[in-house]
Amino acid sequence: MDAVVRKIAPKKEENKNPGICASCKNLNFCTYPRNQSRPIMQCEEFLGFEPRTKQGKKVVSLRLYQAKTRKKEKELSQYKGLCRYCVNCEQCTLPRSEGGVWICDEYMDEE
Amino acid sequence: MELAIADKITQKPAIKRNVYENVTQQFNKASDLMDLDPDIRKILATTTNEIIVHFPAIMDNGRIEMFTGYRVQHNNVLGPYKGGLRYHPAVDIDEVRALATWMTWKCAIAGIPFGGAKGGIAFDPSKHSFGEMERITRRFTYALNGNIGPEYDIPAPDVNTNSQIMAWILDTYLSSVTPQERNRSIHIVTGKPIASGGSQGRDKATGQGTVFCIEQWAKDKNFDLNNATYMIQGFGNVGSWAAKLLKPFGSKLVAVEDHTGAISNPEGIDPDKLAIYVKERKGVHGYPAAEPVDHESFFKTKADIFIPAALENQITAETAPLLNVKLVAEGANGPTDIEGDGILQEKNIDLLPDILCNGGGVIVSYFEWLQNKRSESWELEEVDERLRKKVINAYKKVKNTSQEFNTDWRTGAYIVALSSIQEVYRTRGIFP
Repeated sequence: MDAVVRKIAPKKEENKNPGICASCKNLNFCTYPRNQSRPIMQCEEFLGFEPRTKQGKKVVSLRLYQAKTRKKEKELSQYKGLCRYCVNCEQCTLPRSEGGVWICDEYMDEE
Repeated sequence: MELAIADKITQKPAIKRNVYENVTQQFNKASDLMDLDPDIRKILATTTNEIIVHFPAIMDNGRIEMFTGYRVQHNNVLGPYKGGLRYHPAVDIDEVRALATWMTWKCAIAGIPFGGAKGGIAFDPSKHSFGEMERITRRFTYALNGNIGPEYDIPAPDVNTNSQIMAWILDTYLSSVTPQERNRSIHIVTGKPIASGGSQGRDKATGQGTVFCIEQWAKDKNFDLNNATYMIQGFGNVGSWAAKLLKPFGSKLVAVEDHTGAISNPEGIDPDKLAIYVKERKGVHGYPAAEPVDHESFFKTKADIFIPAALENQITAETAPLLNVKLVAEGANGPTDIEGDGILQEKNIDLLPDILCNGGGVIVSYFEWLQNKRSESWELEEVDERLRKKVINAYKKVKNTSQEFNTDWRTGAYIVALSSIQEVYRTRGIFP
């Protein structure tokens, strides 16, 4: 059986509300009657933020982030010296010494 | 001349006026009735310290952004300032000031040696990464510097802050004290993860305190909780725990409303099964073992006990006349407005006011602080037993005071809080 769903306040209007609803993840599904002249300051069903990366993607957890970082580190570990940090590393055709390249005029970092 | 806090609040434009008006009115009503010393009234009508900090934090793109943080310390005559930190875009000095004042009353009524404070940062956490949140939190802690401390002002989680944020505050604060001081300072925040010094029983504390109050009320009224019916608004932390903890008494949950809708079943709804459903589906909407009802029908449900455990201003001039219950036990903060309060009194519905009924959370925070301070770690049973004693003691004080002043329980609760503060001022006097 479905519960009766009441009219849901549009998010853009709620954002004008100075209360905490504007930053609640339940906002789009919330059916509690609210009064714009009485902004909510405390709510037991408030659902907090999800941190985002700079690309706007959700960070699932710190552990997952660290696991991804470790994988990237492992992939890069085949390169030694400057090559490891050079943006041209994978396309580079210059000969590399076994001990790694430590001086290179072609070196280019991300900046 | 410095404006009193109540004047500052009422001077705000209509849209910014909110539940704090109810608290201010209650303060005035209780002060008049108990004939609070006008000099002490003057002190309590104003906050002690209002700290505003502007601080930089480095974003993931390498740029610097400036943030504004607040910490308002209302009164510390009973003990160190205590109150949450909230992160949301609408945080401003007025909101923080109001909530800090509220904390003073809440701690005083609970009988714990803390004063009232509140703080926060005005920004939208959903627009920031995990790393940015950490840097913002750490810089805010650094900016507050000596204005917080384990024996001075103890922050806690609130809107958009959690145990992770508390752990960052703890770590930053400890980094700013000498190595010899570090293990003596972990009570700088409460609401920490258990592994980092948090307390057992913190998650259910508010719901547990509410149930202890209901149990005591039932004992007083010679009311049998076995087969008693109850309804709950809000099935978050407080509501779901209150429902689960009432189940062993044999009480029957007959209606629930949360942010997704309302459901009812006169034969009873199993709180444990509903909690599992809500965890999966994020709301009571569609729960198969109950009928869907609308907001009005929910309020009209016949039950013995109503536990509002969601948000503010839900029992109003519109909804209070619909209620068909014997007791309202306020698990949420400020669920009843002034008009709603008057109607409940006219209808002779008993009321366990929020500052008494939902004090379990701040009491267990005090226990966490105490355990850290004493380098102890209490078992859940010990936390529960100590909580029961504190809640029942507060309940009895409110009951006796309400009878003594021939007033409602909410006013009685405020009189208990104000009397304990007045007593300290009278004994200690004002320096010099």
